[in-house]
Amino acid sequence: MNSDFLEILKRLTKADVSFVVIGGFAATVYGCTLVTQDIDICCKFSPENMLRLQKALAGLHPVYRMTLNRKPLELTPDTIEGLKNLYLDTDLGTLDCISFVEGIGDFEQVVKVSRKIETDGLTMNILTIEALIQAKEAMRRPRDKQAVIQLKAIREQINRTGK
Amino acid sequence: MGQNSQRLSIESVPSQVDSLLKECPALAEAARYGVDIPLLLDNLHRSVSRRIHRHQAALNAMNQLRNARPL
Repeated sequence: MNSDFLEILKRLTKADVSFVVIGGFAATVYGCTLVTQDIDICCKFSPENMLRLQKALAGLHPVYRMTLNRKPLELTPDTIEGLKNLYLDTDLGTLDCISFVEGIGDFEQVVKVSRKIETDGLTMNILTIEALIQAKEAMRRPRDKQAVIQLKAIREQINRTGK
Repeated sequence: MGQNSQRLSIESVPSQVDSLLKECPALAEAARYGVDIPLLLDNLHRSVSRRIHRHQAALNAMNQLRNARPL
């Protein structure tokens, strides 16, 4: 089955999950030409929010992609406690949920440096381009270097043209 | 006439990029790094929706190629 990141985001939004789009997909939204294999979100790891996320993914066969036997996602209030990240594979693509963004902070901090965008009938929060650059630089991963260079060039064009 | 204007517009692309590179240090840095600047600028002229759909199409094509069986 083909992946469909937009459909995953629509499901999360419809289920009222609190999240902010971060990472390579946010870079795509700003115009970066690199192709990302997964969608990264920062979300509130409260039991209520994570159970809403689980409900949103119901029917997409979500599994823990980092475990050897790819166990199905089965969250309970008890298992959510102490959880920091969730790395999932679903029928519509890979979804990584994290509670803390390097260079920015926890979900509450991430929300403060996010903005709303509307596309394809979907309204969602994504990191501002400034925060995205900050987060990618803070991770110091060689593979992020080109994304940072592109994002800085994009930011320059946005500032130049006002768009 | 049509051919002339088409030729002019094609030839004008590199000069437009060249002048942008002189004015925009971050864009020039991206060019030095090897980023395809016309591709990046084209993408900036697209709507968010088009960017997302084109990205999805590219990812799905990559995954199909990855799963292809050698004959």
